[in-house]
Amino acid sequence: MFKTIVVREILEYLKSARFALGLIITVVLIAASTLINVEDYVLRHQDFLDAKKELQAESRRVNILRGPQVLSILVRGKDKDLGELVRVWVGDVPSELSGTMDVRKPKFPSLARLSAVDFAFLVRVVMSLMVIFLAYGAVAEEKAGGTLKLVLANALPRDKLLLGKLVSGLAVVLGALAVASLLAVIFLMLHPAVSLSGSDILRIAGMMAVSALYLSVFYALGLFVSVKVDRPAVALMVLLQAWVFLVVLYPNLSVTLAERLVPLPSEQTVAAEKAAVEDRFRKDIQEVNEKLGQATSTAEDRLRFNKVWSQNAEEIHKVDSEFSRLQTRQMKSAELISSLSPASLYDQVMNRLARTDIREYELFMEGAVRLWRSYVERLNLRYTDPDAYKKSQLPDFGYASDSTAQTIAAVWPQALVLFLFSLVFFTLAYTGFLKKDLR
Amino acid sequence: MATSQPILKADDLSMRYEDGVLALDHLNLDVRPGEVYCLLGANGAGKTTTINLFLNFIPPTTGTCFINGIDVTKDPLEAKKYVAFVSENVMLYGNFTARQNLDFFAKLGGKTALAKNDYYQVMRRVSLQEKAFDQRVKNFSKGMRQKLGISIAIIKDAPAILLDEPTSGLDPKAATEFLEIMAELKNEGKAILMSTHDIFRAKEIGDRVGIMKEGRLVMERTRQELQYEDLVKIYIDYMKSEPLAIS
Repeated sequence: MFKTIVVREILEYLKSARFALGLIITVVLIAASTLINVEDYVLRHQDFLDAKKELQAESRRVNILRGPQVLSILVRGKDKDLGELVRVWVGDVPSELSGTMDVRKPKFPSLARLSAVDFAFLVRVVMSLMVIFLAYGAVAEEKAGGTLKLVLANALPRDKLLLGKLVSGLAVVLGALAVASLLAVIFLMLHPAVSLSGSDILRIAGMMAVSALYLSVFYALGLFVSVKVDRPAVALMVLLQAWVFLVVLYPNLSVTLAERLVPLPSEQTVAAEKAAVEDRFRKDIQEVNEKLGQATSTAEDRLRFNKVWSQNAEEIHKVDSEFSRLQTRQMKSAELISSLSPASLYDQVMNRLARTDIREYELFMEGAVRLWRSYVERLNLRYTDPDAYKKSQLPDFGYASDSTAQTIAAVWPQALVLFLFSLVFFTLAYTGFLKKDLR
Repeated sequence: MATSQPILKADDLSMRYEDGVLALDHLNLDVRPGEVYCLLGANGAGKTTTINLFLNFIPPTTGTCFINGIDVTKDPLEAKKYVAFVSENVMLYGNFTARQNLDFFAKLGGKTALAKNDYYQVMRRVSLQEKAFDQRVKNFSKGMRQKLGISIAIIKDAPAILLDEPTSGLDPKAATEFLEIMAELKNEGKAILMSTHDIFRAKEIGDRVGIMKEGRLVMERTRQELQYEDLVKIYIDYMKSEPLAIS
């Protein structure tokens, strides 16, 4: 009997115009966005390689370039918003990425503007809406149409009927997700300029699993509202309002709340603190600058120049670090508050899996600071032990991204909360349906 | 009239809704195999509530419904094996064909080994046009949907059938055809409880007719008794009478 329910429900969905329309829209948008984002990634990657070559030619300068993440094709995250170049010099500890590389003209300029629309966005917004349009009538339409009474006039337990609706609804939704995902992955794998590692494939699988969990939340929510509200149109209105709140309003509200709860010092305050540091070093800096400008400057003068400037840089870096610490605290608070929104949780997990979140940026910057310290140390060596300096080499820039296992360990709590959301909504739907008045 | 044990039995059945409305007040009735029991009454008299209670769609405040001797409240799933239901507006799954709808409800009714021909046979029996068998139900007229509804009840082959105003909104021809099928089912030994507003057809098909007013069964007559009485007059007199004291 359970199979009978599931098969009928699935067929009902597949025959419905709203499913066909939703699937077509999703598939077209995912195909288009992936094509555009692949093109965008390939250009950015080429730009990165070209810039790297150009910078290598400037042998006297040390610069660090940040290349695009391959999975930013699917989840853009913050990958494109942060800078891509750090110019390393003794007087400035890298604390934020500065400057950008030359922007190459995209082949399709008008389409490139759409590159903010990625797979994650389409699942978060378009597919979750599609799920709502599928789920709102699951019970309400049957109640309004009278088929619910006809079905339950048989020896069919209510829980079995609702479970059948859940299973079939999820099968249809996840089937649509699988089609869309497969399309995106095929585009990635077939493109000659895109190379995916084993870890990338694992991460993509993780993204699909989290997308499935995310969409399940909306199906369970839809089922719950459909059980509680008898009129399908009202159920749809309630769900659309809930969707706007959960996907659009609440994530923004949580940022505003976090800003109130964890206030950051103003730009003027930070600037004043930095100015105070510079004031402390101003006399020394003027002195070493003057000495270095003289024709009689010695190695000792150069060493002192490096030391004064690097000490000044370290002190300013402390101010920056304190600001960054508070910023991170504010961001974590916003993440915590926004955890009540499945859309926020989904974003957090997807960005982390795609290595396009702030964590990747922090790891990159830690690597940049390490390189700066090695650079200063080696520069000092030039004036204290020239032979050792000649024998030494500046280490290559590098930083270790989180392994897939580390990422999974970091994101499972959010994934668990998404699962719990589904569970809670389904439990509410279940208890509501068992007591439902079928008059 | 049938004399065996009742298939449908309401025993001192009362239903008071959460808003305080007393929809059913100590109802006692029974329907035996091969008997058609027609419940007459105005809107809100308690006819549909009675059927809803038999189907366990709502729990009674007091009293018990029995189907084939099974207490509906205690074992609703077992009880529902012995009853089929036809509603006032048989709204089926519009995207499915008549046969697909029939197949689905047959499986829910426990008939899992039926062939295409079995479905066609039942649809022919209720005089559904052949060309409609494999057409989507969404374009069906009310009469066609009611015929399909009775096909669902026939294919379940339950000993009891509950019908909630099944002829309301049907044209006279369709209503007559519908009642002919009812008569056939009665002759096959089904116990039929039908709520209706249609006094003439109730008199025509009912072995017993009950009139409900404000949740109470205020009158019951057998077919024999009605040969000598004017059911229309009785009905109108009851409807015009003073409201009953609320118990």
